[in-house]
Amino acid sequence: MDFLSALNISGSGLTAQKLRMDVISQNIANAQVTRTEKGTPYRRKMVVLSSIDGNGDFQDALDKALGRKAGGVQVKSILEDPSPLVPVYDPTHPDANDEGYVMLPNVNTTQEMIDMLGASRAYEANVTAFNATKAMALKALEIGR
Amino acid sequence: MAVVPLCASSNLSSIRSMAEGLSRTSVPDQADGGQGFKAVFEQLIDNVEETEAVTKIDAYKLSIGEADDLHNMMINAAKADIALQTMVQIRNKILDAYTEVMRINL
Repeated sequence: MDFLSALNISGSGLTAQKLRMDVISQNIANAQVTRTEKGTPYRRKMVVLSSIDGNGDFQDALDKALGRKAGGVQVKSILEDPSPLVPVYDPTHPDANDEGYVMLPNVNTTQEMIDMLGASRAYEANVTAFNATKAMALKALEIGR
Repeated sequence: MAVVPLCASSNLSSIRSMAEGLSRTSVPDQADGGQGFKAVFEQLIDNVEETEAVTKIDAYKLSIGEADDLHNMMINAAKADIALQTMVQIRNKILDAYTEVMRINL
């Protein structure tokens, strides 16, 4: 694996963490949404990541044989959190049910803040790994100077 | 002398870049008599140009406000930087070897 494709590993990590950040922002932005396009309250979204280790097809085998296989991380899916919605008593709300309860999204802002911190730190870690790889490549150029 | 090509990870047309990568993987022909230095240089410059072309496209996209992935732009810029530095270092090495050969007294 040459240095340039090694950089793609950190790149995929950065892309994944940015998407996580986007989903967290989406959760926070929709924390009070009681009616989505489906007519139901918004449900918290979660990102499922998986590592890239090839699907075993021809292209995969060729890349591996040529040493081009860089690996990395990819977003497998974005799932909805199945945990129960939060009922809040507010009979004046247009989306309140017969008993006067409004179902608010199952978004816990504190939890989202912590996840945001995690995504932010993971992004930084990927940048650090990227810089380390780059420094290593540039150091290799100093061999024999 | 085999120089591993610095394949640009262009997400524009992966097939094209793959085909180019394959064609450039060929080791410069050493049996063509006197073309050794030139072939290595040309291959290096091709590689650097290819890597920097991606950065140019990124700069254009940034200027028209289509920067969706800032980190990928920086990664491509870093790749271009490494490719250029590698070329410069290998050029230095080759020039050293060349001047050493030219210094041989006949």
